[in-house]
Amino acid sequence: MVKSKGNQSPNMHLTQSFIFRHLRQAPFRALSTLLGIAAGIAVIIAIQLAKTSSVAGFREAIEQMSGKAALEISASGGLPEDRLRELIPLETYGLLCPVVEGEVTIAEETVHVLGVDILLDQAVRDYDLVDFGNGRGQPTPTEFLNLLKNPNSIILTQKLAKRHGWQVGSTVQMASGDEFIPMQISALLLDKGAARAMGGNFALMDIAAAQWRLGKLGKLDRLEIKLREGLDVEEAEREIASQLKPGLTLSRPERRGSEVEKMLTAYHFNLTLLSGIALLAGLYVIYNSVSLSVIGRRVEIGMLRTLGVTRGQVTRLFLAEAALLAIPGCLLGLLFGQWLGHGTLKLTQLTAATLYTQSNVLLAPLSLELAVPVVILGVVLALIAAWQPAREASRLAPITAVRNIPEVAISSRGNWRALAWCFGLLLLGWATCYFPMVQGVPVFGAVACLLAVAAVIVLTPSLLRWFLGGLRGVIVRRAGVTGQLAWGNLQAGQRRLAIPVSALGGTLALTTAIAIMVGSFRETLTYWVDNSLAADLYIRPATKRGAGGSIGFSPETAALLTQHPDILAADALRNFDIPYQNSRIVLNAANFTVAARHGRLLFKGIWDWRSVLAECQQTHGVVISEPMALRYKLGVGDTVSLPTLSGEHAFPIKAVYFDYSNDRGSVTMDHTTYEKYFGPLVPTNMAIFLKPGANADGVREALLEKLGATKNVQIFTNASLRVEVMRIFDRSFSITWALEIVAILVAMAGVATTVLTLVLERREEMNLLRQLGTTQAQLRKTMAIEAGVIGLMSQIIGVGLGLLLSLVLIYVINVQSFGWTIQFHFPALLLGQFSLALPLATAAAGWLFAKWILQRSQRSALPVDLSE
Amino acid sequence: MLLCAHHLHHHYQKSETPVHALRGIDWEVAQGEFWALMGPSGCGKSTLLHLCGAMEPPASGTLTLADVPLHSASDEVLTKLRREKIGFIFQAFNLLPTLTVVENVALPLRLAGHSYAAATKRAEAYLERVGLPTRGQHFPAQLSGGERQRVAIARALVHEPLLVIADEPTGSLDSANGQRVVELLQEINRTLGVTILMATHDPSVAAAAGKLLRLKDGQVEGQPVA
Repeated sequence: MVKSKGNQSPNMHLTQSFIFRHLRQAPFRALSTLLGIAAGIAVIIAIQLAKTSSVAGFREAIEQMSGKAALEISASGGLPEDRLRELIPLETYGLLCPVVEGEVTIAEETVHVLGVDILLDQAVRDYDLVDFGNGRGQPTPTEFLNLLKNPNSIILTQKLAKRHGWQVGSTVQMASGDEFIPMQISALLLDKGAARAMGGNFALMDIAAAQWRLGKLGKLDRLEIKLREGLDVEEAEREIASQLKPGLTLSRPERRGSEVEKMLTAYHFNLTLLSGIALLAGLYVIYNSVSLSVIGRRVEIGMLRTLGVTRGQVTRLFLAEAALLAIPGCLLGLLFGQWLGHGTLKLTQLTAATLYTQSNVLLAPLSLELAVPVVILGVVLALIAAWQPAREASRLAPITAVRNIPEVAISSRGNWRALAWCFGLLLLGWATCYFPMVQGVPVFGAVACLLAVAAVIVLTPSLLRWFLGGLRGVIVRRAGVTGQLAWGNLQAGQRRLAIPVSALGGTLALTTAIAIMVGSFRETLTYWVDNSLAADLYIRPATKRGAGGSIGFSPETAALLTQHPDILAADALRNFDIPYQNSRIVLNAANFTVAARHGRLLFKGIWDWRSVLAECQQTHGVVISEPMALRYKLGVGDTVSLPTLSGEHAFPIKAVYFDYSNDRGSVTMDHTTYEKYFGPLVPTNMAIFLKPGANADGVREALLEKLGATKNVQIFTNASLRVEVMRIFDRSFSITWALEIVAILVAMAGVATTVLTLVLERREEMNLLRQLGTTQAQLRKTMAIEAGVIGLMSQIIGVGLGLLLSLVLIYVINVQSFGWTIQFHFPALLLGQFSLALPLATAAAGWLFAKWILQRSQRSALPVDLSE
Repeated sequence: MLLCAHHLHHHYQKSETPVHALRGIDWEVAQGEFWALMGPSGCGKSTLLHLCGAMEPPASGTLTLADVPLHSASDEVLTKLRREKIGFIFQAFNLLPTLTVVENVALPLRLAGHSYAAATKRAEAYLERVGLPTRGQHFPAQLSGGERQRVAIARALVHEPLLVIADEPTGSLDSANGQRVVELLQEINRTLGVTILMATHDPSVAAAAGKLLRLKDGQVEGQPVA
């Protein structure tokens, strides 16, 4: 019967009849391949969605909160109100709006508070209220002023209020710094303009009340300028900058967004890199699938070649198979990715809040701009993965394939050539480790990893050959006839087995490398915590806030915290974010006298650190963190120029210390230096040293009791802080483990396909052996040995290559991305357990599949194929 | 002459030491001849057939088919030659299991760019010619061995080649089916004038061909028998 296929080209006809129908007959292979790709793409999409959501969230929040302001003036540590007078002449450029902002906690949610002079601010930002007087949403300035005139009045968003069932007039407990403050909701904002910032977790207060409640009396965060109509922003920026006195900085609001983006660049790049592992595992599945298809259809390929199908056509056929699997896999991955994105965003936000800055954004919907390139990437990578087996198919000599002549054994010359290639690639990888980052991302570190993977893949066939040679005695002697059969099969199929072994080994290697890196980091952190946390108690305001937060203790709380007979010394610490070279770093102030007498610090290459601290006090010098030194190429003897109240000042660097609290870089100075250059020190943290023999838990309880229910502070004992640090560390890496698990699952799907195919291909041989009197148990054992050897070999490659990759991760990528020194630690127990588990799992898979096929053969005379 | 072989040598690299399959063959085949190639296993029958079928170029010597020098032709030229001028019949039938019988037969035409309808129509005609007019929509797995070989013959002829290579076409069949295949080949040779080169172990099958070439250890044994 002729169907309407008249216009179909020969290539389409071949694809349809040779590939598509075959896939329909092999649904298990098709489905596992499709799911493998889908998982890889899903992880990439989830990470990209989380990444773009957080960056776009920051940008949008800044845009929404900036309103019509084109420029802003700020100062390190806050803009003193008394300097406003000198800025009055700038009114010729437009409207000047003072702003105070900060983060508070209301009902366990972080809320961004904007304190404004509402009479001026309505010209800069739009506020639409719900149910305001006679159905009006736009209050007059006087009405707005009345709504906020009470210092305990707050305007929240309708979105936030709805979540908690609040209404206008409800009282909410606002935690700011170390205090609980009852606030009354005076109005609700519609989901428009500034109210959309931070996903609706936004509040509006009068500027004076905000200064008081956020601990910023006498200071502003910035003075925004809404330029007069017709003024050119660039020109105005130039002119205003020339008029500003030292200590003040002029910038555009969007700069804060780009600073955040810059801070997150390396973190996001590493997450993307990590998500690439799952994608690589997906590609392994594609490679495996197409390879198996080629291997299983050698005679058919030979037949096609005999009939005049060209090499190019054969290559295209198998590439078409990869594309046919990759396209639906990628589309399915988009759906999974959107779903996974919510969890990923949550996890990345927690880490970003710990290391960089607080965020509260919602997952952005999957856009075509993201989906299309990822799908194209997935399909292109799938085609690259399928290229080698497809090319191998095209190179099959028709005569060899048609007669199904077994493959020729690999000659020893191939071994030496592979060894030379491996060595060359490793050498190239080693050289690329010395290249610097490209625009804040460790591209060459990633290239070095890929070269190392390629080096081992090239060597795998030879490794397999040597390994099987070495194992012969063990397998044949110990396992008798079953071992002999297994070894014979492995030996005969070594060339094709190199494909799944190297692919699985590569995936395992990446997983192993990450495990070693995270384990080493954890050990290093433990050592650092042991040698740096010397105080008995650590106290901070309980308000949840990002690293950029600077709400300090109120004076009465600070005084209360030092009044206990068991307290030997207290170090009032302050830290806040400060702009530095188009990014933000952390400025720390501490009492170096207390630190030298009671504390403990880990300095890089310096043992007599106490005299360094004394020198800092004498010369107003500073010490900087290791990431600061590496990121900005600073060292002892250099100076670091910071924006002080009186303008830029260069501080001499006296030492570099190990610090794992952030990767942006920190500068630490004595409190006297701080007060000289940045004004009075309002502590944001306290380190308390107790007298010998004092009970830390007892003192903690006593201090909490003294503070009463109105004060909101967190007091950690030394032991509980260590636990907290490790909890945060583990939480930060939870996404890493989640991605690792996905990668392993995808790789295991690949292993299952390989083992199942291995078993299916043996079914005729199994029938023959059964006729010759071989028992089912013996056949199951044979398959278990074969599958187990594949697992063992993959694991050996995985651990060896993983060790190599972990060195690149620890000493190149980590140092370039974060600037942290990590001591190498080999997690012997974990890897030992895994090394045992993997061969056992693959052996079990071989045993089970063999059992299944033997049972089916017994039940039915019909041949069993992949479709079943 | 359709085919001329001169000092033809060929070897396979099965391991470190090469296996010499052909050692200096001189042979000429005219258009419309039906040749049988006989000799013990490993004597080089199949190798010679595959070289003549443009499956691969010889290691040394010259070999021309329809004035095309196969010994120096590129893979593209050999592929084109196979697609347009040669038909193949194998002992193991070598049909594509995912294609129906009629699709298998039509495949050479589809590869040559014929439309689906035209290719199918001609394939059905050839299926009728080999005695399988009702089996077109079946898959190869649903046919008997003899039927599969007849499908393979139809496929080898459908694009009207100059030369048909038959490598032990009756080797997998019982004597009755084998006989039918041989008769079919004779009929094709007679009615269509197609040149056939057939390797076989069976003297009765060889007797059906008009000419006989005996091979031993990669060399021609005695003189070709007309």
